[in-house]
Amino acid sequence: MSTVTTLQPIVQAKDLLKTFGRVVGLNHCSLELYPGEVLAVIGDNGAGKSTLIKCISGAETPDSGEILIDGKPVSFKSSIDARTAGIETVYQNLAVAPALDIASNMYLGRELRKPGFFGKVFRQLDHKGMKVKSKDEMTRLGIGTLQDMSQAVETLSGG
Amino acid sequence: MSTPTSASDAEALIDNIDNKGFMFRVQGALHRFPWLSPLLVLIIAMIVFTLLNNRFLLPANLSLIMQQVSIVGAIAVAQTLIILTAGIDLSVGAIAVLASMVMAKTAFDQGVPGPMALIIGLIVGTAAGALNGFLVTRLKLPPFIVTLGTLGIFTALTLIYATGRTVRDTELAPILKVMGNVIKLGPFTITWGVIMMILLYVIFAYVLRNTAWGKHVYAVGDDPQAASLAGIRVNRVLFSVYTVGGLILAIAGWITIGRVNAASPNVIPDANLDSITAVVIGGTSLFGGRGTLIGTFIGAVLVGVVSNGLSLAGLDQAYKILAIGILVITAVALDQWIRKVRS
Repeated sequence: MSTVTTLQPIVQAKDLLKTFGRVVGLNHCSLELYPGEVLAVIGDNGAGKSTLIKCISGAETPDSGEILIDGKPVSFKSSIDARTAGIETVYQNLAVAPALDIASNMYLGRELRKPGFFGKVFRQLDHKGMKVKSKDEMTRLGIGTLQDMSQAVETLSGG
Repeated sequence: MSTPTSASDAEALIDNIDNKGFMFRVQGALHRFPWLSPLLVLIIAMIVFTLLNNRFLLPANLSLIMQQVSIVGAIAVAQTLIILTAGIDLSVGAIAVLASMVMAKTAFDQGVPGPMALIIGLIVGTAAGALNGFLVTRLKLPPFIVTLGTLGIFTALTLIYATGRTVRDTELAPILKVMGNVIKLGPFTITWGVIMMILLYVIFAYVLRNTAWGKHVYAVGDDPQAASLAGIRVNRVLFSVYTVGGLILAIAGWITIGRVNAASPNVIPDANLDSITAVVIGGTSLFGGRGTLIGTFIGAVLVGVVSNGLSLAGLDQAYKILAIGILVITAVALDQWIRKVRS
C-alpha cells in the first residue's frame, strides 16, 4: 500500500511496564497495529503475551507506559472502557458465564436497556434487541448453525 | 471448533440428539426450567393429600398453608439471591428476628412512633446484611463461615437487646401488626403478610430477569473471573446482594410480627435452614449461577404443603422432617445431573 506512510496506527502501545511484586510481566514493551493488519504475538510461556493483551484490553493496568487508540492516549480503568473504545478480547479460558445464554454473554457488562419509560424507570433490559443483534453478529461471522440466542452457553459444543 | 460445516454434519448432529432420546430431552428441559421438577412433586403431593383427606383442598386450608409459608417464603427470597452468587447465608433468620425486635422495642420502650420504628428496623436489617457483605467482600472470608459467625452475633444481640422478653400483642404499635391483617379473596383468607411475600417474589423475579443487576448476580455466581473480565465489579455486586438481602429479611421480620402477633427473640428458630431447604428444593444450584425465584416459591410452598398434608393425614411431624430430607437430597442429586449437560 502506498498510503502506509500517512496511516496512523489504530492501536499503539508505548513502553509498557507491568510488574507483579518482584516479577516483571512486561518490560518496556511497545506495539503498533495498523488498520487491516493481523498481528500474531508469539513467545515462550511467561513471556508476557497475556499480560500485554490484558493491559490493552483493560483487564490489567500497566505501571507505566502509554496506550493510544487512533493516536489518542487512553487509560482504561476496566475492560468495559476498552470495549467501548472498540477492543474486544477472547480470553484463553474463554471467560464466559456458562449458565447464561449467548445474548446475555455477548452483552455482559454492557446490557442494552429498553428505550423510553420501562428502560429508564424500571431499568428493563431489551432482551429482544440483544438477541437480534447477537444473531446478526453470528451471521456476520458465518455461524449459521446457532439459531437460538437464548441457549445457555454450556449447552454448546466445541471450545 | 467442531462447528458442523456441511448439511450432512448437521444431520449427524441431529441424529445424535435423537439417539440419546427421552432422558436427554428431560435433562435439557430441566436445564432450561429447573423449577419443573419441584412443580411436578408439588402437584403429585397435592393430589395424594387430597386423596388422604378431602379437607386438604378446602380454601380455608389452602389459605392457612399460604399464611404458614409467608415467613420462610419471604426469607427464602433473600436466600435465593445470595445462593445465586454461590454464597450462602446462615444468619437470615437471625437478621429477620433482630429487625423485628428492633421495630417492636423502639416503639414500645423508647416510645418512637410506629412508622419511624418500622423504618429503624428496616435500616438495622439492611445494615446487618451489609455487615455480611462487607466481611465476604473485604475480608474475603467464605460466606458459610461469615454467616455462621454473624448468626451467633445477631442472635446474641437480639437476646441482649430484648432482655429475654417478648413484646406482646397489646404492646405492639399498630403499623407493626398490619402484616397480620386479613383480606377476604372469595373463599380464601389472605393476610397482608402473604401479599407482601408474593410482592417480594414478583419484584425480585423481575429484577433478576429484566435488569442488568440481575444478570450480573447470575454471572458473578456462575464464574466470578469471567464476570470480572467482562467489566462487572464483582465485589460491588456481592456486597449489594447481601445488603438488599438484609432489607428483604427485615421485611420478613415485619411479616413475622404480624403472623405471630408478637415480637419475640425465640420465634422462627428453624428459619435459617428452612430457607435453604426451600431454595434447594426449588432447583437453585448451591454452586451458584443457576436458579429462579419461581422455583424457590414452589419449594417453599411444597414444604408447607407436605407439612400441612401430613398433619391432616394424621401422621406425626417426624414424617414431615423425613419427607423434606428426602426431597432435599433428591433435588441436589437432580441439580448435579442437570449440570452435566451435553457438550
